[in-house]
Amino acid sequence: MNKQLRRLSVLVTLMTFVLMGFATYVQFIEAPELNADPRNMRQVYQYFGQPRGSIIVEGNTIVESVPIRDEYNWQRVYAHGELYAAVTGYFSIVNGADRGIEASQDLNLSGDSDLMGWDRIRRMFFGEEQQVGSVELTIKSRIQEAAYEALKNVKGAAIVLNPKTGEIYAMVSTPSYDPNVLASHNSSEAANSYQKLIEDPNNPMLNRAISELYPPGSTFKIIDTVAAFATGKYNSDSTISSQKDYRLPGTDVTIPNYNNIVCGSNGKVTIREALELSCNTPFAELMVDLGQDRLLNKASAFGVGVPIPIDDGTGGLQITSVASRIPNNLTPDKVALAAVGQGDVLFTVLQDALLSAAIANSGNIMQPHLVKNVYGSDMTVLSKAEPIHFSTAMSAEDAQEMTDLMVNNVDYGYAYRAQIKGVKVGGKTGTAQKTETVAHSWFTGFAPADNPEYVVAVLVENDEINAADQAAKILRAALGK
Amino acid sequence: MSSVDGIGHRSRFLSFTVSTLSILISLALFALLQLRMLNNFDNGFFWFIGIFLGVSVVFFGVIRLRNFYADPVLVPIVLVISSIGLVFVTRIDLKDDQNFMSSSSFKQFLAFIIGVLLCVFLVLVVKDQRIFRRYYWTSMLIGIGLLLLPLVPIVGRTVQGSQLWVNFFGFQFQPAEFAKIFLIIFFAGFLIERRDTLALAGPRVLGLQLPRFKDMGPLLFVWGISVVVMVFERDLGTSLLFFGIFIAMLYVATSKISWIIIGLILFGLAISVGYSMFPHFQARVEVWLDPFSQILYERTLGGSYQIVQGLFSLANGGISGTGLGAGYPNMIPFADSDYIFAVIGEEMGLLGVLALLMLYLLFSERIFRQGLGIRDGYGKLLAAGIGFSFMLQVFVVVGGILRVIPLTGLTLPFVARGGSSLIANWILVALLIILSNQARQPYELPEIVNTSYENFSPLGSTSSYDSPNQGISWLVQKNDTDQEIPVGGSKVKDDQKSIMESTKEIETISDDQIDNSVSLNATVDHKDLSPNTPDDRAKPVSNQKSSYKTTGKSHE
Repeated sequence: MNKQLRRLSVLVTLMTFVLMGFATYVQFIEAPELNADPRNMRQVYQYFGQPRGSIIVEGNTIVESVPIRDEYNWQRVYAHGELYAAVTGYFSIVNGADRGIEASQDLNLSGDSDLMGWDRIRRMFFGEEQQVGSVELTIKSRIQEAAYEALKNVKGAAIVLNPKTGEIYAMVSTPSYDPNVLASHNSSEAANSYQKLIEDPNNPMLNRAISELYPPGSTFKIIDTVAAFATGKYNSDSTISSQKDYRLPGTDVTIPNYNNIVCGSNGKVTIREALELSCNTPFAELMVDLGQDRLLNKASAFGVGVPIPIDDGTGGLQITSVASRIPNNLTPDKVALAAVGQGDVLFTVLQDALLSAAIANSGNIMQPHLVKNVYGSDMTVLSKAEPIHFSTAMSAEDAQEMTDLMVNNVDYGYAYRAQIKGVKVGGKTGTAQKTETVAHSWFTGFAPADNPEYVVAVLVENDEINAADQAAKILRAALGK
Repeated sequence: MSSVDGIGHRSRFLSFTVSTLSILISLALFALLQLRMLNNFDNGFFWFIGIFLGVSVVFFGVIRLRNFYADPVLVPIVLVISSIGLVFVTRIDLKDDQNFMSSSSFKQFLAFIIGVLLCVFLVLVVKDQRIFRRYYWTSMLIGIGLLLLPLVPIVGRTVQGSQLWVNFFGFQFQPAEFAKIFLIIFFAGFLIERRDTLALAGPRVLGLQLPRFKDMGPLLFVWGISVVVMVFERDLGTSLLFFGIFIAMLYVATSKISWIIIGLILFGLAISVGYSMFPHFQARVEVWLDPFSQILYERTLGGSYQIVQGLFSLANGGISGTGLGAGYPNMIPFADSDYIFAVIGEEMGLLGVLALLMLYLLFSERIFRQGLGIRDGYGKLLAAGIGFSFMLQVFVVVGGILRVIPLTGLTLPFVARGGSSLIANWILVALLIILSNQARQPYELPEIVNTSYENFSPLGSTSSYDSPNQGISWLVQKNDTDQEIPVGGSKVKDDQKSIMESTKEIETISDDQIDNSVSLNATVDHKDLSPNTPDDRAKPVSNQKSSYKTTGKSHE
């Protein structure tokens, strides 16, 4: 019977090999196809079911994943969802990590980035839970809160940053949205919320601080002035031609000053006064004289024309401001319009902030950024943001002169609303015509003027409230006044 | 004693190492489970570990003391497979209930303890597997009774469309698992009696030597039972399992390929008739062939949802698995019973799956090895039946999940949830321990045989024993002399090896002799535990307590 027993044992071995072969086929060869099957939710659950790192503002967690007893295991929770939505973005089972820090730091938050390589190796050997990174932002909560408070009832955006380092202290876009409704684990609920938000005519998911373009209006005159100074032929006290109405070269169209006033006297005005009263005609004429090359060169020195990234992009989908626009091949009439921030010139709110940032930092623009530190699971610092030079917009002397002019604007000019008791504030207002009757309200400025710590840019759509007023509120909160 | 020590020292060391290793692996699995699922060690866990450790130590201790020669690898393999089962049953429970000893996994743990203790009890009580031999008709009645019990009104329960559960006073169990034990005992006893008749040549058809038609009775009988199970209990898996075991044992007993062919034809016939008659049969096949079809996937009755989700789970596990606790067992229906293999595949990956299959293969091969070593044909048949039953069961379950064959639904031995299955399998382990002790025991002539061995010829004389009782007393006697077995003297250096060799020699001789002798006695030999069992006849005839080697040679 031993012969038969041996045959039986061969049969049993063959049966096992057949099973092993099929197991290998299913788990190795066919696996990618099976994993890609839309009916297979496991990969989705797995991706979304991992813990995810926190987003931290000044030591406080504003976004975190908390354990929950469902198939995803972890629920993303946004404390003060609407306040930080423009910064954080959201994480949903329908759209994944979308917008903001959630998207740009996805790899660090999920633990899949190269920074976390050691953690992953450890996990492979010791079978530990996925180790996740946490991201600390440069945001200052008091400034963010003030900015959101100032704008929450209107459509608008505000950016506050440190001109010396480029750290973004506040980034607000209103109306905002609550990322928590998108983070729902009920997929149809999450999808419905998303649909509702993108169909909302107020477009709450649009980040108006970096993703929307507005005509910069009179704030563009900062570039005009800097371009004039750069020629070496002008200073604050230089007089330039000032007409009541300026006829755009080669056309029959004339542009007036604000409220049809006449700037200066005897057809002349100093640059200081022209900026103070935000006169259109002198700057239009000046820039037509200086020519489009000087205009375009100076604009690009401020960063106009290129998308401006506000994080390093190593952690996922880089957060990038859309490029502010100024067309080249301008005819002289278009140059004149561009000089007053109209025509085809379009800026982001961030770009407008950079105008002030250059002045506030001796002509140098520092790379704006949102992420301060990335921490590993044991809270060791994995990466730390260092100030990076972005561009030089003007000389230090010109910057000093511009600072005086900006302070002058606030102390004596139309920007008076931005005055703060006990602090010298520099700034420039703008009113950008959207249609004949509707205009956007702008303010860009910095404080304290003698050693600027805060640069602010505020835009209020349709001039519902005054941007300079709101900027003052924000700066007051920043300065603790 | 010195020579026994020679054998014993190595085997004791091996046994101790492998047993300890298996306990450590099991404890590591439990600790891992606890850490991954609950992140801490609570009191329940230490109780659990304590009980498990205690039971294992008692278990191994008893085997060492009572069945000194039992295979040192067989039981540790089962312990590891069992632990994998306990860990995964508990793990699947933990999704609902964060209590380590939640009700259903606790039940499984209890069944494990009962199974092991029952095994210990049997090992202590039963000294020789041959005492079962005379009860084969009783075994048949009990086995078939158990198999058909679910069909009895009131106690029978229908679960998942198959009627294979019975309910006694709120206590549910699957009688088929116990039927397996009794039917294997029945098959072995029956076949050892009738093997010569069944091996006789009948007509020759298409070059194939068929058995005689009048010997077809037993096969047709077992086939009939299988068909009843298949049709009335709607349990293709159980039906296939029992018929498969019978065919395999029939082949081992008679060495006739034609039996296998006839068996396969008969079973194929039953299946094809069943297929044409029963919609649930057709559904199974349909789902097997095209599980990913959206229509079949969404079909509520007899759809492919379970198969597809099982495959998804396995794919999600990939090569190295998601890790314990990181899979999604709650997405597969019946993840803890029929589909526990898919959960293991997801969380332990292809590597875990291959390791588990390897453990089963090792287990089966180890059982066959005992069959090779054992000296009586009855024991060989038992070993063949048990070894094949485990692997066939694994093949039917895992093959169904992996789409090798249509899904039928059997429990994965020692792993799937189900107390009756676990206990029944541990009873089979007891039988295996007894068998392996026999197989590996040094081979000697006890005193009592010495007095009458002159009437005892290797060709098998029927006159040497008057009553079966003498046979039993001989067996008992033999076991009692275990401690004083003098084998070979000190000159045998590589004892184990020489024993294996000599055993092999003896077997090859005895196999042929058996065929002759039994056919001579076929008509008269109905005594239970007759001395004419092949091992008796194969016993070395030697005047003295001679060395093994010499004994083996004396037959050449």
